[in-house]
Amino acid sequence: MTILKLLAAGLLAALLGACASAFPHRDVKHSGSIVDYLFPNAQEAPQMTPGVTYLRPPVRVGLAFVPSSKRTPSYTASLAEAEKIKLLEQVKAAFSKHAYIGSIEVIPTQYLRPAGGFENLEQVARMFNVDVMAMVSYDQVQFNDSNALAFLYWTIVGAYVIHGDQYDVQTMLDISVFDVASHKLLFRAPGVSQVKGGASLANFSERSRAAQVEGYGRAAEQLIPQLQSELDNFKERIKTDAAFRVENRAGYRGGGAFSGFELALLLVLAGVMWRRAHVAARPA
Amino acid sequence: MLRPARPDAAVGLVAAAAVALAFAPAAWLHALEFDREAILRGELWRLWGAHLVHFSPAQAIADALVFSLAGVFAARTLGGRNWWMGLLLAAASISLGLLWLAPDLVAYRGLSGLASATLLLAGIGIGNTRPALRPLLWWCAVALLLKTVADACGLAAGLGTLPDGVRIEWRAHALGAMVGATWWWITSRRQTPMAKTIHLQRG
Repeated sequence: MTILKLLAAGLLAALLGACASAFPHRDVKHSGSIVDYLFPNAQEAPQMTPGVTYLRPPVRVGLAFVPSSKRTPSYTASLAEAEKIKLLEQVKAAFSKHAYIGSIEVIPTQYLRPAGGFENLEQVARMFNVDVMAMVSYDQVQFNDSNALAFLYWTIVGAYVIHGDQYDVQTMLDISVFDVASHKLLFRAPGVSQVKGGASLANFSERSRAAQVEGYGRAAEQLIPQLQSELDNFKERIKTDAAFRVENRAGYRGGGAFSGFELALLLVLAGVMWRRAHVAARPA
Repeated sequence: MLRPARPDAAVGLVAAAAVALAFAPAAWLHALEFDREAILRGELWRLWGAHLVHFSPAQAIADALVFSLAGVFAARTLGGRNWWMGLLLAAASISLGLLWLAPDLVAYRGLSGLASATLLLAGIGIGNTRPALRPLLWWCAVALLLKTVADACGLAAGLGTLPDGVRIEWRAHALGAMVGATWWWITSRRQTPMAKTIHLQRG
């Protein structure tokens, strides 16, 4: 009888252990690499032909996430499209602060082909009528570990209340801006983040998904000031760098602008009027 | 019935709005600017919005100062009703004029077109009420004309408040002056002899 009881207890323990180990949290990696997208079959480093890049302000900019490579299964396809658009809108706001930037188009990832190369980039640029493409590449790795409290998952209730699992989500966003006509990289700006946290077995999936989204958001927050700084630097660089030439496009932007000249004329007029009124009012 | 506070209020509010919008989010500025393609697509609010938005705070402040000073002169010396209506019609006329006369202009922002209109109104008003100042006013008019020619030839770019890649749209100033002259002509024809007397007395 005792042997039977021991066997039953052992079987129960094995069953509970099996339950707990039926939900393994594997490490997750999402990435969309600009190199994989633009140079899918490159065996050696791409050769740049020297030449002048012509920029015609106001520059029309296209903004898009690099599509993930073909090898990435669709169920791990990282960020939802709505979240991507939200992030791109933040980046768009950074671009639109500069007068030499014209229209900015947010381009959904569906318009880009995985490993499409410059051929695909040019197609999309023509479709959206943009001169420059700002491509956001990303790399997110989620490490999952269990801590000592995971032992309490055996109690079943523990699987719902004990935070026995931990995640560590590390994200890197990188925006690279390419001139479509010359294929030249104009500038780039990175942003990184790390989000750590814990969850119970039951809500680990939900928590870790939220952490992934938060990771992208934080990386974007870090990327935007860097992008602003790079945009300012680039504006100065093209004034001195012989590899860039700024030309006026057909059509131009005009401002109705007065200067100190008109203001000075008005102030002179006001001064003369005031003086005459003052002299006239003075008793003889 | 003359209500001198109304022209001042109209001028002040427009100038204040232009300065406030200089610090507005870029999306607002893009939504309000003169965009040739968008206007032709039917976004007609841009005919008025273009005069309230600017490319830089410096441009907005310079334009708003000239507009408000000239506007106050014009309002004080001319008086008159319907300044709001006058400003609305003037703004639309300048934008439509740019649409017609400047086919290469893809985007435009600035209050200086309207400021030109008020400058001309102020000049005429002061000249009518203070004949002794007419020689000085003529000198000012010649100086402004020369400045407009310099703007048209690209010789006065260094004086401007515009960022790189944006040209001074001198045609907006010329159109503004023409609209101001038309405004004066219509107002002077519609004013009653009594109102004219009151203006002269106030001057």
